[in-house]
Amino acid sequence: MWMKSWLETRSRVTFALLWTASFVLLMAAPGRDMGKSSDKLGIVLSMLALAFVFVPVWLAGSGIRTQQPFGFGSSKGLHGSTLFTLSLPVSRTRLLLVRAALGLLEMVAVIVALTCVVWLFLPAVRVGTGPGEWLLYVLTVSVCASGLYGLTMIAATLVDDAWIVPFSTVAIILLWMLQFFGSVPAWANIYRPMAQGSPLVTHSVPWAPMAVALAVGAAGLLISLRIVQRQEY
Amino acid sequence: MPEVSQRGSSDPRDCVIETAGLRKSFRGLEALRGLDLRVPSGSIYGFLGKNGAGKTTTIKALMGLLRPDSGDARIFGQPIGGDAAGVEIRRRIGFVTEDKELYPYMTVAQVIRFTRPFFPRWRDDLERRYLQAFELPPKQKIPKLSKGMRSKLMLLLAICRGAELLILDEPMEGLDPAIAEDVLGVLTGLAAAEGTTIFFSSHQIADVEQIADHVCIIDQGRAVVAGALDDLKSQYQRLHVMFSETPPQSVAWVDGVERVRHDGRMLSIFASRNVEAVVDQVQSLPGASVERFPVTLKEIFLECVRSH
Repeated sequence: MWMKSWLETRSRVTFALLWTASFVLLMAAPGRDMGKSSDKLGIVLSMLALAFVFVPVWLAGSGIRTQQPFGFGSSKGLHGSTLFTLSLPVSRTRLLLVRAALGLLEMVAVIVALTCVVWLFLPAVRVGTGPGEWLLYVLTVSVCASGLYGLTMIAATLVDDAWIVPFSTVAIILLWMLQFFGSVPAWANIYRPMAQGSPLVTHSVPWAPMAVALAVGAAGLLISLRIVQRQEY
Repeated sequence: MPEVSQRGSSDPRDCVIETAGLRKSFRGLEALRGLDLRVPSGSIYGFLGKNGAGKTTTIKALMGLLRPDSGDARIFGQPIGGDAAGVEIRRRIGFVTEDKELYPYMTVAQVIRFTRPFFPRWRDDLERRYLQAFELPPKQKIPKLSKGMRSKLMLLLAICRGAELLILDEPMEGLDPAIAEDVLGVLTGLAAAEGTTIFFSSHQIADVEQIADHVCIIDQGRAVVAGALDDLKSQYQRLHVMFSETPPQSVAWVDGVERVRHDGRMLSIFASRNVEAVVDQVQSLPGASVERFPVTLKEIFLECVRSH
């Protein structure tokens, strides 16, 4: 099942890497002046956050129906090979858990890869921060992004393949905007620890938002499992 | 139409598939309206019906892909439904889907390698035999295969599971006659050699008649005829009655007469049962002489679906 899931999501991983790489190119563009070193870190973290919040969207392959990158033309309006998958002696719970676990691993891999590239090739951001803090940053971003991943899992189990990415994108943008226009308390804001509220800036671990993100991710997983159990094909 | 006869196995323990009063609706449209089905162990069971009669819905319900609204369905005596129970049932079933879709990113060899570990009783000997017999190219990607080749691959994947029951949804659809003949041969061979129960849906009546020993005709979500094919063929008969004068216009026919057609001085009677009593009644009519004809499965099918 792991190999099958990987074959079905590898194109998404490639796309997520290209997406995040484009942000590195933007940050490292020749002649780009980002002001003081503290400003540089802030700008880089903001851009990284923007890149990372969409990684769960690109990797939203948690639905057990998903077979093609981004679902375009995957099943000609039918269920494609899903019926064959569901004829195997594997529970829907296991199918979804494998897919979700692989998607999360892929997401963490993309986050680690991009962070390493930034750390290696943008020396200005290393000023005043140690490798331990960057490790903590990766952990924080991964945990917070897992909350978003949980939301995209619901989308991936609810809507048809081709609609997963647009549906998740709109949901994540709406949630992003909520922190500016709504009154999201700091402890519940899972976006902030990826940028201005990250351990690289605050030098502390954002426990509360991380716990909220884990709770949201777990809720997303449980809701998705419930949906998949009840789904008809 | 008569009550549905369920001939064949009389002991319910010998039935691999049993449904009672199975119902399923889609947005108020009833696809299954109290389906009763009993598939004897070791039989080749043809599941016939027009498009939209409820064949695929029944198969999907049996495979746990749809949840029936009400009624009871059992496979190997176990109630269907429930994730854990379904896993154990599916371990003993080979399934061919109606659309024959497989993973587009895999080759023939990869999809076999992927499927094999799920089935502890996987038959390597059958895999080798049918890879060769079906002339399946192991390195070919699935989308490059013709529909006929995809059907053969799905059949291979179903057969090699070492399954006790094959559930095949329109296995011959889209196959050219030569390939269809191959597939029919494989299925009869499997039932004879391995004792595998084969439950297959089709609207190709000739295919069903060729290999099935039991048949169920489904119409508008209900089984209208079911039983052993030989029994049905002897039970159903067509009578041609010639009259020396004008035939009587209204006769209170005995039980068993399904349809009467007038053609000049001849009456064509389609009887579903009780044929001897029908013959006796016809012979009691003045100036009547009667001839009895066996009916084909196609005739039974057409009479059944027309009268509903």
